[in-house]
Amino acid sequence: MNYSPIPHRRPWLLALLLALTMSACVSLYDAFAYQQATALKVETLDLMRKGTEPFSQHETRAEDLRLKLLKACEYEKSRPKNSESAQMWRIMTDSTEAGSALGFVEFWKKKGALSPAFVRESQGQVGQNFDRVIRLESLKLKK
Amino acid sequence: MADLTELFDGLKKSAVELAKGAFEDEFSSAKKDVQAFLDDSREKLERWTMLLLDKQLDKDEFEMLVKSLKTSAKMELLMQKGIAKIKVDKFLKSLLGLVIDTVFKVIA
Repeated sequence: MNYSPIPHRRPWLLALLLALTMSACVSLYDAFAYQQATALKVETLDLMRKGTEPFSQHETRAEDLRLKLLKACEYEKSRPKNSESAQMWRIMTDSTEAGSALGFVEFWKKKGALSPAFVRESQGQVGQNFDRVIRLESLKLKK
Repeated sequence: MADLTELFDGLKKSAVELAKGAFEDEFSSAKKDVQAFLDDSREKLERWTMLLLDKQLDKDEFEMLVKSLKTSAKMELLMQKGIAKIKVDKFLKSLLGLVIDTVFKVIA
């Protein structure tokens, strides 16, 4: 009689192996997503720097940034098993969220111009939120 | 068959050790991150209050900054949740390696 310990006597082992192989919780690291997040962080903080000036002078640039951020959000939403990153991007592109990139733009638009202290502190808040997005992406498993 | 039982017992022990290592580290690192976030938020609140009193911030700006702490908390929690899931993936990957090694030991 052939000695075959695995398939017949340990069917649970095959099931476990199969489950382990198929059960990733989070999407894999995506270099494009990482690069996009870091580039948009720099671009957002650079526009925010102009927050002490009248919004009307920077409206075109603000609209351009808004579109880029929305495109990045759509990209993240389309990735499978990416719910946390996608939710983080939804927040960053929600103009009603204080501390989000588009929340700042909306507030700037409403106020016309902002104080240097507010711009500085907001850059810290928005920058940290981008860092959270970037950190999560960078920790994802590589292929 | 005794050898086989021994091997699977060994696998069970190793898997438990692997899980302990992976999730104890995760718990301790998440705890540190959350504590750092709370300390940072407190410092910011104190600084913004001073800026408001010093009239470097107006009331709307102060309110906006305070509200941004809620957004940061949501972002921090989402990041921590994502990191925890990544740790589970890493654990499963290591466990898969452990199971495959054990199976090969049995077959060989």
